[in-house]
Amino acid sequence: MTAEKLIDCIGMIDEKFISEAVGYVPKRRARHIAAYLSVAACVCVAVTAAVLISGGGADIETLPDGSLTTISEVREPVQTTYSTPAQTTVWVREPPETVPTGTESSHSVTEKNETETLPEETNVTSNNLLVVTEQTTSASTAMGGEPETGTETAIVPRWEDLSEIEKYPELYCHGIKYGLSVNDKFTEEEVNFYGNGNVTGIDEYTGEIKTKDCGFYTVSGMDSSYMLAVYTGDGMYTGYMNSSYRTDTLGEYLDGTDFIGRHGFITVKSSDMSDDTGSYYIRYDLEEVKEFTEDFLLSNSDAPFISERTNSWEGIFWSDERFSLIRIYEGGYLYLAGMPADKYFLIGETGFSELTAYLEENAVTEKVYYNTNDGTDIPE
Amino acid sequence: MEDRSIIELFWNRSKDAVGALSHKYGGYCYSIAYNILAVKEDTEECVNDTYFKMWNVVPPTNPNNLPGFLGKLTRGLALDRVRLRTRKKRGGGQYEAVLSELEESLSSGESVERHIEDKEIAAALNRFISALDGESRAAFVLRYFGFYSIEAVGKKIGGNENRVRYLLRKTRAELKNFLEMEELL
Repeated sequence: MTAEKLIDCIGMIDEKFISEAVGYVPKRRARHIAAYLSVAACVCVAVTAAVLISGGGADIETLPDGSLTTISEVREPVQTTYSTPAQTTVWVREPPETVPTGTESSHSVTEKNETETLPEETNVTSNNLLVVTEQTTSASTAMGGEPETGTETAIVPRWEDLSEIEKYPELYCHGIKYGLSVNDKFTEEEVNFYGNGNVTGIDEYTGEIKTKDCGFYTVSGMDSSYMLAVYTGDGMYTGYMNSSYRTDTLGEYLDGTDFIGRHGFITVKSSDMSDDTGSYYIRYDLEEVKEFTEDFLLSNSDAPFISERTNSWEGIFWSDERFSLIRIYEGGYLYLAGMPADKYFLIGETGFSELTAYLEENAVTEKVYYNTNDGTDIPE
Repeated sequence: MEDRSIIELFWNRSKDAVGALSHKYGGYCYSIAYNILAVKEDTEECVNDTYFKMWNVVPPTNPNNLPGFLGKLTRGLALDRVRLRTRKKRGGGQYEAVLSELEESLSSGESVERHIEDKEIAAALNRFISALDGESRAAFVLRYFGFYSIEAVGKKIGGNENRVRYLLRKTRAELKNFLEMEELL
């Protein structure tokens, strides 16, 4: 069987799985705030425990997504804590040859070989994979009950079986963490040498932190604090993205947007973004909305970046440069998604009223349009 | 508009059918097609092809699950298009990445050369997917059916990219084992 055949066969799966995945809502959205507070307490306990276990020699940092990570020195037992509002997972992993004596083991890292008998639930048949058992603590009973604990088995390949890209998913430059963005590939003409540094990764087999020296490159048209590239062979450079990158104002964001070629705008009003029941979709006259929206966005170019939002309107526009999503939230928050990063800008109550009123007045609900490539729409 | 009403418009050969479908599922179809094609013009043509194919197959088909049915149509057309297109170093969307990831689930030291019907594999995949937990199932389907980027899957399931990579890696390894047990590799 080839991967292409597998892709085709995945295309034949039961349709209920597709609609279920598309409409998937993370459990955490339904949680009460008390659950979050309880989870936060769990996280604090877990992090404190991790620091104490590692003898205080570990570095702790807050990642852009709010999670905490603790990484100890190479060859020491590695304590890593990942946390989300829905679940706290404590990974405790040690190299097999350095298991401390007298320590109650709450984990295991098992190398599969030809003669080893594995637990039934692991079912590993390849000898180049590892079985890693995690101890997990669930926050599902955080409303006053005892947290649920359990184990989760992961299977990871050996370090030498990984591609160079898979080995080194992180890059640090000027104190900024960049994550590998495998789909951002650039040619030599699109990059400029920036400096020397190294990329890092963790050998999950031994827990060892690995680094590799390499050159960093800036990407034409992209802020170096948003993306850097590394040469990854075949004449191509792979991007590393700073997911916490934010511009300060809408104007800075719009600098890289070409509105001239935009020729599509669809909106939806929804009181609950996680459930589109009761939503309605309106197709607008594209040219008028294009001009108005462009003027509006540019006139609000000093709107500051902000991260809060409530109920929304939603729209999609295309430009020659980007495929982007616009949401206009009650309370005056404008959301723009797409390259280079998701953004929320405060345009104020007046801005919200002005933009949504214009869109409502210019709604075209009866005609069917087909997009064409020259920027105009032809009614059916 | 309810899905059933949209399907009835197609059955009645109403001129409003495509419009209603586009209003409700235009963005959804666009996302799937764009994930695979990554080129605006191709994506738009593909979405229009989807509407056209929907018009041709309904009736006689009477979909019970419109988003699922539509997703399959869009995905199939986009894959046909991306395979016809000359492969370039850039602009392949998530297709090349997904293809590369799934190779992992197929690499086996002892490959059994036999013809296996696609339907047989699809039935096995249904059994495999149904046994996954909700989060892993959503991540697997979004990534390998919908060709969502890792980042987009993370946003959808409420986890960061590391979490998604972990879930997918684990699921791929389980899939490989499952396919071997089912003697499909």
